[in-house]
Amino acid sequence: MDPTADAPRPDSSATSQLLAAAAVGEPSAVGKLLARHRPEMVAFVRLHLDRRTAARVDPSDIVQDAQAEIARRLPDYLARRPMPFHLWARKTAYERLLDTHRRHLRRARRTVTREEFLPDRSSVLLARPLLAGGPTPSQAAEAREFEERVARAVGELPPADREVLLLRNADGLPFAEIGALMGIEPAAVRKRFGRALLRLRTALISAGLLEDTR
Amino acid sequence: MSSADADEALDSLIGRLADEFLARRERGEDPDPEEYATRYPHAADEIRGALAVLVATGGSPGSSPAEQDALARDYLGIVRAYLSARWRSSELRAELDDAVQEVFVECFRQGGALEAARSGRVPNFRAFLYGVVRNVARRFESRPVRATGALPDIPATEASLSRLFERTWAQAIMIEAADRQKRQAVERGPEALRRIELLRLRFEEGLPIRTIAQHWGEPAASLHHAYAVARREFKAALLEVVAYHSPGSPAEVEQEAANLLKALS
Repeated sequence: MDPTADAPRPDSSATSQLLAAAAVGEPSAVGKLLARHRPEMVAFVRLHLDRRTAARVDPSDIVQDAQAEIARRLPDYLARRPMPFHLWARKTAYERLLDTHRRHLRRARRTVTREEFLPDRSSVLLARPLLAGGPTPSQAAEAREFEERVARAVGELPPADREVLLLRNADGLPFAEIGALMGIEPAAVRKRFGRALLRLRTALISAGLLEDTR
Repeated sequence: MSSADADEALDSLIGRLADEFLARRERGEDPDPEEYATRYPHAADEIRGALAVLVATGGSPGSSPAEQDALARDYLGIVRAYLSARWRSSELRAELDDAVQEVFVECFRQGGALEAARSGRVPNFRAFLYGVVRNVARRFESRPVRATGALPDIPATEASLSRLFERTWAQAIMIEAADRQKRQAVERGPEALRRIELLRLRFEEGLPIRTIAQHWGEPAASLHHAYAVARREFKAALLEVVAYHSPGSPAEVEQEAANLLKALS
């Protein structure tokens, strides 16, 4: 993978073959295509699922909805091929995830925009590598407290900053694919990523968790 | 250039450099932040700070592609070999790919096996992974029988399935230790590479030392010495591999290595 490239990664040869088979109407191709991408979609949804929503919805249900939509829209996709299939599948799952999240928050009598979507555990997820090496059992309590402090610092970032950090750092997606998911240009993703890192640096320094080298 | 434009240019520069820095780390390199700071002196402080954050947060337990790749590389073969043996005469063999994928989804999910192992909550990763694999296997085995499929022929008791997993694990660890010893031999030079060949002839070809000595035209005594050194090198490589997979005190690592050898006997 070259994350610096401004084009999404192409599909694997196996996926391309299945797409070709689906395009000529081979009956088993669509099922195989969906099965092949299901684990990746489930892992992606699990990572981004808000904890409050996760208490009510299983990631596999969201993926099932997304896959049903993919199957329904596949003829149109095959005719247009606007992006690689793996990215289209992830984008479809991401949109279902956003819909699910909005729906659950609405039920909780809260409003949320796309920009405000935030998996709240992302703070902890982004913070945890600061404990790289892992605490010994005797240090566990101290480590938990440290992790909470880091998570609080991460939590001070605007939601859009956290989201781009999560997609790049935790999902390991290139800017072109993050842009496709978030509906912005890769250059804007690059800028947002840089800004998010500088803001996180400030937050970590303020919390006494990172040395100020200036 | 206005102040806002300058800020945007700085954000963009930091984003590009951080992305490149992260990509190099994902490829296993160890880039030096100072290299980037020197290249752009006008933004050196910001670059140092942003890359320091990236070092701290660059890669999330159980979720980054690099870690997923590492986990798959380390354990995919073991999981596949175990499930293949468990379902060796069952229709479930057709489900092997899906089952292996499910095991790894379990490992990668939040709070999953990999995260548990990284957080130190799991004293024995082998046992923990076995638990994940066993649960996935049982899920597949408990599904309704397909119209075309025969009843799964699941062998023996849980104890024998556990031994099967331990043996599969032990085999994989031994192969990894042998590979490690070979890589180390490349760095150590021709004599070390010769000792690798000596081990191969002794174990894979089953040749006695005296026969190898005759082939090589050397005194058997010197080959016995080389053989002893080769075995020590293998043991050292084995302990390093065991410590990587099952961290612990030196005594615990030695005990785990002994357990693995016993599982193979």
